[in-house]
Amino acid sequence: MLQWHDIDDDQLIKLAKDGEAEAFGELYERHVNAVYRFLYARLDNSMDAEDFSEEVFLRAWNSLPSYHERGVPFLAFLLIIARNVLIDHYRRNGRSPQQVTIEDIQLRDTNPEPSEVTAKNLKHTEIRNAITRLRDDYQEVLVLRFLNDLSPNETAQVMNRSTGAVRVLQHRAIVALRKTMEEEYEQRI
Amino acid sequence: MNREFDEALQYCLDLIRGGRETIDSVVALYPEYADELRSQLEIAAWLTSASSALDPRPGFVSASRRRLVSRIQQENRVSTPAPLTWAERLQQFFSTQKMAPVAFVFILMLALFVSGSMVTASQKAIPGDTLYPVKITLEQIALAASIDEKNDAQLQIQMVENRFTEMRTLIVAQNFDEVPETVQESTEQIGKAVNSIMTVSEQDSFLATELAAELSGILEEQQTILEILARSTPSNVSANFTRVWVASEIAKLNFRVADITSIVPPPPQAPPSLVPTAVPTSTPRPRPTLAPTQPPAPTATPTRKPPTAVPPTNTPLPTNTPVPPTNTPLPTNTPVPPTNTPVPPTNTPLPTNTPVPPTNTPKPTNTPAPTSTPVTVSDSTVTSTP
Repeated sequence: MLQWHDIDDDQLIKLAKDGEAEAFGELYERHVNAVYRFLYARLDNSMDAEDFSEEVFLRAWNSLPSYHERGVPFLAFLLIIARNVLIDHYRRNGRSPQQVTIEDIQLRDTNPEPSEVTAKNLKHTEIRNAITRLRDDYQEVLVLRFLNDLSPNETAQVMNRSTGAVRVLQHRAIVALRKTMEEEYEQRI
Repeated sequence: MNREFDEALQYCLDLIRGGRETIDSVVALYPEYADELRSQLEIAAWLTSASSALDPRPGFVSASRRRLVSRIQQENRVSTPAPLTWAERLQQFFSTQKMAPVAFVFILMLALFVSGSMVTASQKAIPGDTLYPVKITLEQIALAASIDEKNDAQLQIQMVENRFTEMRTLIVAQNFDEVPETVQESTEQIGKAVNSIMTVSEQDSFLATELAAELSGILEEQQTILEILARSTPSNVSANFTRVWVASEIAKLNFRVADITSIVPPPPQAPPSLVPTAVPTSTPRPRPTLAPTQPPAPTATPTRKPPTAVPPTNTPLPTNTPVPPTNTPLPTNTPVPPTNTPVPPTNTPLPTNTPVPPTNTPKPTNTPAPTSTPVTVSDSTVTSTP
């Protein structure tokens, strides 16, 4: 018997365009991690990332009739929407990221294992502390290239830039991040 | 940073992610980029290893999937109950801001086309047609938009002609139900046209004369046509034509009374079957003015040929003699010069009634005494005319 996970993305998209909600649910399950990761790397808490992930897919569902006109892979299509959701969020709340304490992190995410959650949240905080000092486009290219594992071409599509520009941007972002981390390390010592 | 370095970095990252290589081992593959490659690989590898820390909590994906699918199904039930109609698709097509100017131009052109087509089609409408009210409305709009009395009168005359045309079309199509009402409209319209011409005559008598001539010509023509149509029309319908005939005659009589008839053609003899009432053609009785004017004529210019001598403009007709010269051509042997003879042609002796044989007057110039004969002949002619 044919299962949803036996069907490729293109077929699922066609079914979803015809109004098949379960097909879109399968697309959601396949791509929500990448979307969530992209959002969570730019946000301070996971609840916002969850809410915004659902919002991204709802917007994608409503924009699905015009999807093929965009000519980008479905994940890039989703990440473009996620980028817009973040921009809207920044406009509503300003750009000052709130400082997250260990207590806040432990209170927020307590499922399933507190120690495991805490480790993940600490890692998230570490990443956030490292990249939030960078320019927005540096943050974006690093997240897309190394956290979402997109190719330079896919990254260029999401960022609406040329592939060459993305390569240059990536190089400068890595240099900037290394410099920031070294400065922070020196301050701690 | 060049493409070769970027490809080397990407290849090294893939190897490290595969779990079989370390940073040290892959950097050895590219000794020319060793330092730069190591520096970037350390950062990239750190970020890549941290990506798992950004995954959603367990259970979130499945729970949120169910929530999302449920929400979409609810929206589907509300928002897509039926496929779009063509009108909705058209509305959707024009809904984007980019299409707004195109939509505006398209709708404007469509409106112009439809209204233009409707106006054109309505011109051929007859009473009883769907577009006939449109035709009447357009006539009234044109009348309201008219800026002077002359234009008003011309429009009223045109409307008289329109009513007659509609009446003819109805009769030919044997649509007799609408004829009485159209007859009523025609008679009323004739009255309106006459009133409009009278208004013009107060300002410009020459223009009023032209308009009166135009309306009279139309009435003459239509009277003749109705007379012919009456023969093939049921009597109860053709009885209505009498009203049109009377209205036409009254209109022309009004022009005569108002002295704007100098170029109005004489009315034809009414068919007895249609008009039992008094006929205005019997009015000209110019006898008293005819006799004294004729005697000096031969003496003045006895040699001139009369056929070219009596154009309407050279011989102002008396007000009580509306008969144009076309119906009563002057005889060639009448030695009356045009300038000295205000005699209306109708009163000149007809050749057939003239008792004077040509042999007695071989040359008009040699017989300066035709005064006696025309008078007697004239009297006999006029008195014998019915």
